[in-house]
Amino acid sequence: MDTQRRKPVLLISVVAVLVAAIVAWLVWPSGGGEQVQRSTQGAYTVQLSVDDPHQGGNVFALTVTGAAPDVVTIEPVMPQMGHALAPSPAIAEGPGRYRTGDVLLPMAGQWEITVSLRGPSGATQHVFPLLVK
Amino acid sequence: MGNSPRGRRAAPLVIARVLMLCALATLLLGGTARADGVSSGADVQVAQTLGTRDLTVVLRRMDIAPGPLHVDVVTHAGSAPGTLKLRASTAGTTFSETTIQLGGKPGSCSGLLRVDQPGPWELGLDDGTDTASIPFLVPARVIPPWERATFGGFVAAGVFLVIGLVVAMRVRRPQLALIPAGGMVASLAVAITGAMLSASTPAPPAPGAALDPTINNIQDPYANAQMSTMDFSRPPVNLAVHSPNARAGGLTEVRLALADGATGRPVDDLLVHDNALIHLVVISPTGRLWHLHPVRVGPGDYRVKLTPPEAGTYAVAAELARRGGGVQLARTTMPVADGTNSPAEPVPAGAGARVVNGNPVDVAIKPGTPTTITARFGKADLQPWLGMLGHLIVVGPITDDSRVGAVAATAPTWAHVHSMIPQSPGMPGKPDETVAAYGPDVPFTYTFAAPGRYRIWLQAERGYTVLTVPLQIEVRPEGVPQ
Repeated sequence: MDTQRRKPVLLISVVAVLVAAIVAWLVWPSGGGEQVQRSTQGAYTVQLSVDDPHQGGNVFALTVTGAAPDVVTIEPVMPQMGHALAPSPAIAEGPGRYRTGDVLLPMAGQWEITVSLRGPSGATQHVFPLLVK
Repeated sequence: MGNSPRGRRAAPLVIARVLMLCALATLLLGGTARADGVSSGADVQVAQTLGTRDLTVVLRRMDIAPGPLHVDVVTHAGSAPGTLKLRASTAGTTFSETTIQLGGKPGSCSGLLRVDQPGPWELGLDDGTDTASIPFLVPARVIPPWERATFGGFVAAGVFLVIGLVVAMRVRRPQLALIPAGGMVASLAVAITGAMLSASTPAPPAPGAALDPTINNIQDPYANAQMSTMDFSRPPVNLAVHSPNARAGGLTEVRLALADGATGRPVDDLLVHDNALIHLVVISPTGRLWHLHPVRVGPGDYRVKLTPPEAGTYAVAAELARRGGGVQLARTTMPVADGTNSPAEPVPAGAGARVVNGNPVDVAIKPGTPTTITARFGKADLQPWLGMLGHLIVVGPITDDSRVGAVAATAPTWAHVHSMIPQSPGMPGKPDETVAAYGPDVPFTYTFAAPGRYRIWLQAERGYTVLTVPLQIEVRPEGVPQ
């Protein structure tokens, strides 16, 4: 009697676990989250990271290695709309580390974020594509 | 019944067979899926006028990264021997480089580079004097979601089948097998639905052609599937041509600055269209024509070298395609100062036979609406140039034969007509220039918009030489649409 009662429970739990595993595999979120991109030009290597780019205010964090720039700005452009935003300054918060304030991206879609560096080692522009959800 | 000794012996055998079948099905279906993925790219051919050489750079299709990248460089007749350094880089960092020897004899030379990850890359060319960089994409293996549902569903159905068999044979209450049987039916429904929907599922926006390519969207294009119905087209470009030292008889560097028509920013999203980033057509004051392919040296910065043989105003037209689609034509002029002038190019003839660079060509013109122009070369040994059998540049009406460049720059008609290569059955890709098997007839059909005298230049390739046949054609009022 006891074995007969235990068996369906075991069976049902095995089936349930299998179904849950398949559903999880199918709908597991892919990617998203923090976007990190890197570019080297001239003396500078720039790494741009932004957490979950979305419509509205976004904070961009920059790491600059190779040379130390004096001025760091970011210029967002939405190429499909033919719309460029005024440059936003990135403030130094440590050696080689910079952070912007809230940069307002008014629309979801394909953006291009240009990071401009100026300093004793020259001036460069690094363009990072960014998909905003 | 299931507990009979015979049944007990047979059960493991049945289970083993079912498992083997499942595994076999997974293997077979899995193999097909990989071949159909986004990775199945094609060769990319890019014409580049690097210094004084006309090169065609062929990036052979890649299957997997990290892996080798085969690059063939086709040289044309008159190309000086020398070395060419090839460099593969991503995010500004060079990953591999190689040097190839360009022989004095025109033809194809091969180089082997390596790439280590999918994503946007650049191929650098360096002949010691001039450099160029060609953006290209290294594809990733991508499994579409419907394919995951289909294979996952079939695998799950197989597992449920095995469980059902075990339950039916080993458990005292065989009706419990209905539970895994229900699971199997559900899994099959998922799998079949996935397979049926696969044909009607819209493709996600393509990295490169629609979206700016990044490592993320190349590896997982389906993350942006909700954007599949968007219009990705971008504003037109503004073209500025700088050639401050242009002098008749001297080698001149022409710099093209491309700026976005809406933001003024440099344009760095040109697509390879008709086997080039930019098709630059230049027409001299007495009607000589160049069809060149400027090299990219930086964002929005393209350069090309040519020797203008005469002073005066040259017409310049750049044909290009930006990310998001659509081909656009930007026209401007370029002044050339006095120097060592060559004799003026005579006004070309109309239809009839002639010899161009030692090749007999017979041009037949059938006027009407539309007009058909057919060039017949001696033998069927023409080579594809820029993926086409022939090119025809039509400019006009031309009102002044001594100022063809200036008149052409503002002429109402500026056309680039193609004569296609017939597709070979079973060959999905386009043949490259090493296939000399086309022609001898090169037909073009064009509808002239207005009556008048037009200059046309017909181009086809034979023996790694691009032959240009200049013509003049008079279009009568009855030859245009009323």
